[in-house]
Amino acid sequence: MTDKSGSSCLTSTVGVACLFLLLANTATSQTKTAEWLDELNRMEREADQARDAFWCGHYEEAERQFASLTGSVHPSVILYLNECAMCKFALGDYPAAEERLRQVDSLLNTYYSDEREKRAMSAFGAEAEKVYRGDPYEQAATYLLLALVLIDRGDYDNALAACKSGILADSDAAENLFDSDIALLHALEAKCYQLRGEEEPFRSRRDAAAKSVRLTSASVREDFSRRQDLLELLKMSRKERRQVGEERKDDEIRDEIQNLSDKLDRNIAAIDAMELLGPLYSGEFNVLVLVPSGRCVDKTRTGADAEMVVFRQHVIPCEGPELYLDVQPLDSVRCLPVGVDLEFQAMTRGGRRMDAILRGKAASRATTRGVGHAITEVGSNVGGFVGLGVALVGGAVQGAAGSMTAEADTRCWQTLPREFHTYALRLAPGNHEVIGAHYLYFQKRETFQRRFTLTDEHDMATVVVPPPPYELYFRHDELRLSKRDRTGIEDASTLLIPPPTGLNEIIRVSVADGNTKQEAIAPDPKRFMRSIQKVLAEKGLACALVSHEEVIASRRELADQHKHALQCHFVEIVREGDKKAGSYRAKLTFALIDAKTGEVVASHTTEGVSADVSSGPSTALYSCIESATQAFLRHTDIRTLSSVPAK
Amino acid sequence: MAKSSSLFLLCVNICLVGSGCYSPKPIPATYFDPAPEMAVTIGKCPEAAQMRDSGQGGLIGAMVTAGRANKMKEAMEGIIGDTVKELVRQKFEAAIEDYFDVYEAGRLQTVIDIEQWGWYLPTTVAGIKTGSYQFTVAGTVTVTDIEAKKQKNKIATCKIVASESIGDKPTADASREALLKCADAFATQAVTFLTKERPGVAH
Repeated sequence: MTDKSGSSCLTSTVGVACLFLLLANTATSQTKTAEWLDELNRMEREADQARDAFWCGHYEEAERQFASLTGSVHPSVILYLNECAMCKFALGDYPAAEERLRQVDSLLNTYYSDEREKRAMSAFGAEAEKVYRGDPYEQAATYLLLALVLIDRGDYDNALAACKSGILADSDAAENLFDSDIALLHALEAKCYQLRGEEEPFRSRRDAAAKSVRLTSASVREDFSRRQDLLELLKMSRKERRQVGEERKDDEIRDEIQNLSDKLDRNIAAIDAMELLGPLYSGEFNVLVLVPSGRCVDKTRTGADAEMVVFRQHVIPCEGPELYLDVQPLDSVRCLPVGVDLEFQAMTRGGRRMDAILRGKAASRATTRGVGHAITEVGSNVGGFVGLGVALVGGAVQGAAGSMTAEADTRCWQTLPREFHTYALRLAPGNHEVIGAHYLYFQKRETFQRRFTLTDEHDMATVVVPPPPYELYFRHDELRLSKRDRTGIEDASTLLIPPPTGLNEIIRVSVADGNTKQEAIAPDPKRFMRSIQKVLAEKGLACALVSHEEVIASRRELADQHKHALQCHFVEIVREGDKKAGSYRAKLTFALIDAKTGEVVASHTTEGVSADVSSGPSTALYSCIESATQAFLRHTDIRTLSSVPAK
Repeated sequence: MAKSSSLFLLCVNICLVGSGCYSPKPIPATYFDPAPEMAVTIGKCPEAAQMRDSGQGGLIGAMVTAGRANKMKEAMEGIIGDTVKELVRQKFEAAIEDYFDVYEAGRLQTVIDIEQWGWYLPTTVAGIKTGSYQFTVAGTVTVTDIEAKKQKNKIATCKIVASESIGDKPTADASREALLKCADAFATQAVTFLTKERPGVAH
């Protein structure tokens, strides 16, 4: 009896101990995972600052910040190496960019197969679940950029390998459902063959480029995507179809596929891909200039429970840079009609838009405040491509806000442009130079320069131009200006006032006293501009407001019609003291620009003060703007400088 | 979750509607051609964010909610009534500009009263969370014609509730994003309703 109870007691004790150890182990593992997520989120916050610096044109600062995140091997290192490489491209340091991209290639190879990934995971531990490898479009972009650098320094064998890796990353290698549709990768692959003197593969690869152009042409995208959707529908079970609200029978779907296919065949046949590719098809080029345009999508979460990962589009239009090749303007007419549409690549798989079936059912497509949302694959990019089936049945990931949780991941390559415009040129051997500058409204920014030498007929060079200063523009809905705002715009001497730069939709008020309650402002660009206009009008200076869209679309025409523009950059707003005896101080930089040359005629940073604390920070901001404008006018004799007549 | 959110929105609507004699009224068709100038201002708006839960009167729930509210205030990083007011005004102006020219003063005066803004959390009586945090903005939009007779100068009114999920553990970024979406949704809903009598729209 005693023995029995002793043994039972021992068994219970061991059982309890085991249970305790099991629970403790689970708890420790969960704690560890949470710690790693915190660490990865911390790094993402730092990377966000670097991204802001990058899109404001501060490439060295951005590179330094990204580089500090790539010092050790961690689950996000591939992402930051990619972003670091983009900074190096913007700085014109191609060898350093190559080094970063080669590191990415090496790391991607580590996780190439499940087995290798498992081995890597054993070294990483719990955090390995969050290893970022990038979506197919991101991997393809890595190899595209690497191929460009390698071609530039004459390493055509490795460039060919990079092109093939990019094509493989963008294809469905597992089920061979589709081939990469990035035409430039195929065209570069063809060019590498041509440079190696292999005519047969050159011809076959350029045909692949032509096929990609046809399939991704704007005139067939929609129908192609719809056909892919319908093909996927046919594969789904009845239950899965019900889940996406699909009631049609197989025969009906097949009929629609047939109709679509006929229409597609006709439309595809009408596309002259060879004409669109131009020198990229004939291979008659030895210089490739890639000009970034806009900002590529990033990821965010949406849905009733913030459970779905979606792409967020950056749709604010930006002006392309002014480019010169050997002192002659590089006319945009010479830009090829086909470029690399990374946004399209991000939101499609094999030409199929990821939100097509989910639209209006499992997910909504909303457009708010100048950004649009489009549903992406539901889930994270951990481990690469997530099966279409998962997205189709709306397998929502239970996630929470923040950059990343154990289940949902919004990390993505955020320093990619929305599109690369392409110039394929044929130049004579010798020394050449591409110089250019971006414009921030009327102001010409720092000039960039890229010199290269073509040693002989078979030598090749590539140039990647820095991106536009996207983040300096205020992301806002289209600014609609009234007749009053534009009074006198037809007069050549009227000063033009474009929207302010350096603002966000919500800006924080810096509080001098640490104990004071924090405040934030939602600045109104129109009210901002009107405050400046009001002061100028009081001083008798004729001025008219111009919207972002207007300047981006017709800067040259406006510059031909007007002599000067007055631009304002928001620096900061600080609150001092309390409600009884306090004040707000806003710092603004004004720049009087010669509209034709883009040169700064006069620039001065002034401070506007408002002692009206009780009315709130928004009222104070506009009061500060007026006071800062007055200070600028006191400091700068704008009338003499711009010869603006009195009203 | 969806059920409790809908329930909450319904409750808010009932509260708003129940607080007085209310019947929504769009801007009459005569005001669209020619369209007079309009001024948009914000009337009342709570200075600080409000935290609400499903509640159902539970004491434990109220205590837990109070603790959660403090954490949420930290997550908002300075967003105050003034920020919300200015944002809603801008979004409304941008949306109504399709139909009216908006200036500082005008024959039509639109006043947006924001009755509540902040978070809602679906919970059980005991305060146990049953869904994600929601950011909400609720208020009334009133349009007055200053040239009309005093008794008949209130030409349009509507009550709007906009809500956006901010996840289980809201951060400053998520709250800011939700505020922007809510302000946008509030403005879109209000303008869609107010302008539904315009000529050319099927009623």
